[in-house]
Amino acid sequence: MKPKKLMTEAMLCALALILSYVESLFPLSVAVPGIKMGLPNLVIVFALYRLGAGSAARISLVRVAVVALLFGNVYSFLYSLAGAAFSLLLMVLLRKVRGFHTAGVSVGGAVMHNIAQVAVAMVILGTEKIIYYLPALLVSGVVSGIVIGLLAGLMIRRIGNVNKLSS
Amino acid sequence: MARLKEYRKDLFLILGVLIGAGLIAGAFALAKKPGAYVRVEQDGKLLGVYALSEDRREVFPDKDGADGNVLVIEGGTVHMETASCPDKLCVKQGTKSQVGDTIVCLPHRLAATVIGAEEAEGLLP
Repeated sequence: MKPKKLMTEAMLCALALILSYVESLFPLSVAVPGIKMGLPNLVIVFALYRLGAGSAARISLVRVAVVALLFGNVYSFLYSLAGAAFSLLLMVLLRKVRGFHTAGVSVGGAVMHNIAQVAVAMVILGTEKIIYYLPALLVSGVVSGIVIGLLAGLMIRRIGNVNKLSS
Repeated sequence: MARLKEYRKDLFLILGVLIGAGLIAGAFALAKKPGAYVRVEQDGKLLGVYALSEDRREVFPDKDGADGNVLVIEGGTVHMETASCPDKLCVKQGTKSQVGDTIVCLPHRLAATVIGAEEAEGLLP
């Protein structure tokens, strides 16, 4: 890997980590566990469009691991990892479909993130009843997905070719 | 409106998810019926089954032995009174009484589920 690309990925990863922290400072106080703004996905969507799926996956994995080490535990790591992995997978696929914008891709990622986390919670807690939270999580995923997707779209258009940033 | 047309696929996806969420929520609402017992599980392990007909206050200590979660059954409904976790989401989940209603505490991996009499039969001593 070229040093410049590695550095860009590291920088974006740091940004994603800060956004994870910022998000944890403003817990959305609602009755359904798992509803959040999804700020780090801003960076992941940006990386997906500007650096490719491989970079987005590396940034996402490092972010999840570091967040778990700093603020989490083994369970929160499992939730985040499943959410991040399935979310990115769907975003990579949706991006390849013609006619999808960052908004649609990001909504797909957010919704997939919630579905994966509900699935992991069902396994860890050993109760299938958590699925009752799914409708609320889907709606919140759509809302945050649209906002994050539109913002990411703006960033991607404004910032242009990230590989030329430092030159 | 031309710009909106550009986002046709995105809008279809969004509508699809919202309709899906509505259908799932509708199915859950239709399947609702009053519960008889509340089942408490931690890490998938059964901690206890309590009748909703009997007012009581049950303490589930966390691993330090402090009051982890306090579950209260009152007038046929159940709610989490206090919790030692920082987010207190389980307390905010409010009062439950219908079959399938669940109060979850992710930090303590504790789940309290309202169940019907038939389902409780196999679990009661």
